[in-house]
Amino acid sequence: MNLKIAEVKKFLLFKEIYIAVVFCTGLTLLMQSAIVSPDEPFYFWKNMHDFMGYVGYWMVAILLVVGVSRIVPFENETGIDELLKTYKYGKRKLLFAKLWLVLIYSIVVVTFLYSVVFIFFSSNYRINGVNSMLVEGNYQSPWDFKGIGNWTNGQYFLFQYIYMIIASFSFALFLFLISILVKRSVVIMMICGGLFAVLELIKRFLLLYFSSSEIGYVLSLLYHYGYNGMLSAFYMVNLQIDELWKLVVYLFVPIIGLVSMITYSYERRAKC
Amino acid sequence: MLKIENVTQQYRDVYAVKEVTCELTQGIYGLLGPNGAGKSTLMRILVDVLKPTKGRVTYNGKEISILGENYRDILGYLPQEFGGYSHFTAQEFLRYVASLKGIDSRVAHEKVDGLLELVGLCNVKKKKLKGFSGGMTRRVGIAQALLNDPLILILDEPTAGLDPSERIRLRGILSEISKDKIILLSTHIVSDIEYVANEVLLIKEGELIQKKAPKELLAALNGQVWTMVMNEDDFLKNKQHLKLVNASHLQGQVEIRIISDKEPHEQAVTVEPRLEDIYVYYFGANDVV
Amino acid sequence: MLKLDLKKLVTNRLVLPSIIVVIVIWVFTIFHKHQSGSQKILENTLSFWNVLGSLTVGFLILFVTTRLFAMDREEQVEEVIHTTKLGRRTLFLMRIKTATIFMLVIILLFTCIQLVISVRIFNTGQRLTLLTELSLWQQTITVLIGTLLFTIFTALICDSFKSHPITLIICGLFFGLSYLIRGSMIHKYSLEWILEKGFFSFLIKGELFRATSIDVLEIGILALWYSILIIGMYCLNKHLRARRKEI
Repeated sequence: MNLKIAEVKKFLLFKEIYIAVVFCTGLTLLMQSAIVSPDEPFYFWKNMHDFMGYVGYWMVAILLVVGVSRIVPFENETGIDELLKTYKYGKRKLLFAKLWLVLIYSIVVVTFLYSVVFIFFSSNYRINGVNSMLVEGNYQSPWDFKGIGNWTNGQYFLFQYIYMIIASFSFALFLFLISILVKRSVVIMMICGGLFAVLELIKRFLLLYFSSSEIGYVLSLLYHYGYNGMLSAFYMVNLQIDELWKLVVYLFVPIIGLVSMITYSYERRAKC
Repeated sequence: MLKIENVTQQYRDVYAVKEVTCELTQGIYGLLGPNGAGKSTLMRILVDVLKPTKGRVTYNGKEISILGENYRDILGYLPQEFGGYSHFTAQEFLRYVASLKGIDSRVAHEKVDGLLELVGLCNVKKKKLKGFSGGMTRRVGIAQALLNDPLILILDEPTAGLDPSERIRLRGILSEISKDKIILLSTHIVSDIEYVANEVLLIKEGELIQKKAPKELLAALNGQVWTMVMNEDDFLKNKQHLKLVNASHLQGQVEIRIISDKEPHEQAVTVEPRLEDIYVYYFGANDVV
Repeated sequence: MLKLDLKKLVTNRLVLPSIIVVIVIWVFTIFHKHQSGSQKILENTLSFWNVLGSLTVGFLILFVTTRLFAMDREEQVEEVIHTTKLGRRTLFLMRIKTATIFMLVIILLFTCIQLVISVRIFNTGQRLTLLTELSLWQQTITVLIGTLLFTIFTALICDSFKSHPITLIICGLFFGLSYLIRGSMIHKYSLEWILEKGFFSFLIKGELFRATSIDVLEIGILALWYSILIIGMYCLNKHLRARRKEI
């Protein structure tokens, strides 16, 4: 059996993922149905763009935390992790099979959520304006970065989609690294999911009180340049189109760093 | 040659393995010792999942931790606790292991089916592992250890959960393949190694106390193993003072087998020593009733 | 049995750090407001359960008390436990009792700390206002009821699915959702209303007492909904335990 197929097969056995998918789908539909109103004009692509920045990234975070936190601990829980380390390809090759799984899962999660919203909106409204210019929609959202005026809706959506896949993969790698260091999936969910949620809550409730203080400044940086900011695309708010290279660095440097740390940690944890 | 040089595994004040030094060449080695003697720890060091506190293990002159993938390519290991992925079938699981061992998928298909036949699981190869009994799971474990035709085979209690016919079958398999392999197996069932082992390693409290062929170990006990019959009351009075191997109770009398360097009683008769006697001689027998 | 299970809860590594962190944050917040001469210092004192206290309670229930019901399977002693005389229904009920006692002690501990703070920083008049007009006790009772119900609910789910991660996902997500779905624009008895108030966090936040727009009918419907949840989960749990021969 191909290693990658075996990893996918193991992954599909996790019941937690299905529960999280049902929950996130239900919540997404609930929140999007609040937008849809017969009394107000509906901009199809604007709402498609807005979805991820306002709500979608929480769903991405939940699904990634639940899914990725089970990948490595599963071997510990079945008691087979030590035996795997004695196989010729039980270290590096197996690790890369798992990283491949993480990448595929990130793509599937983002695609799935966009598909749910797309199907929901298209069942209520006509899909038009793919080739219309973005500025025609009077566009303002977290994703509105400067100088975007020459893009069409379709081009901008594609850009957002690719960005979300890369950002999700980066977050998933962070989760994977934590799961190598921590052996229990519940603890990983608590650390990573809790950190994400706490930063969201701090931003919503506490930053109002502390924004002018040093603590507030640090928390604000942590939020905007951490994974909360990356997934909600907050980094792009003041970015100019000719500063796209900064975005590339912001996205890919953590990925490279995380892959290196993961490779080192995974092989090192063999001898303990 | 697998060389173990002064290997020590220390946890705070406790020595799980203490300055073990020996050489292993082709053949079957039995690792014998009581619970907590350090057998599993030593095996985990030999398969390079545990780094020793001191000392090193070399294969053909090179340290196994440096050999890395090349060492694991020639290694087959069955741990004491083995479960497998419960939702995989036996065939799927072995094919998965085959891909991890770097075996080409076409070759793997044939090998997996061959090994399942060898361990007697051909009829249930499409059945999920969660439906397997303990003995069946153990046989899957043995099959996965043999997949890559390893030159070094380390088996930690391979016969646990196997019935007598399966144990005999395993002994046959190991004897057959041992010509060009180093096979190390640990067990509590002395008869598992009595007939197949070229050498027996006795390990007590982390230390290697003996490494000899079974015949040599048995020869050392010649004239020290006795049997006799005594009545129950005498037996109960003298039990504490005897190095007891076995006691069979028969209608108010007890037939005992003991180890003693001098004649324990005028009615005692010497008998041929067995490996079980070696075990009791070195490790004692706890509470034979 | 009770003592040993309580010991498992108390010696959990998460308990002490979370209690200390919460107390430190709360003391710091209140003293900061007191120093800055906040006019609403009294109302702010009662807002402990709004976010900080309720999140801590939720965290302890989800990560500490719920683990009690999944530990046997994780430690692979489940079969041994089930073959003992009292290892089935009796043990399950005892563990629910242990978990609820533990959480009630935590609630009372936090309430005592609130009282200590108010004694320290408020004058006599303010203290009386806090206790009588603003009714610290009513709020505490509401929180206690919510905590009790949520503890039982998570215990039933965990015992039904025999999985701590699954319980965490189901209960944790719904519990957390109530912090995100807020606002006066939510229509009564709508799905959003149920998601905001329907998973016990509404009680644990002490909002039943502080909500100005809640009426008797709403309370009645919420009480009915909570009963349906608990009884429904209990029936499912009983059915699954009977199937697994754990009764």
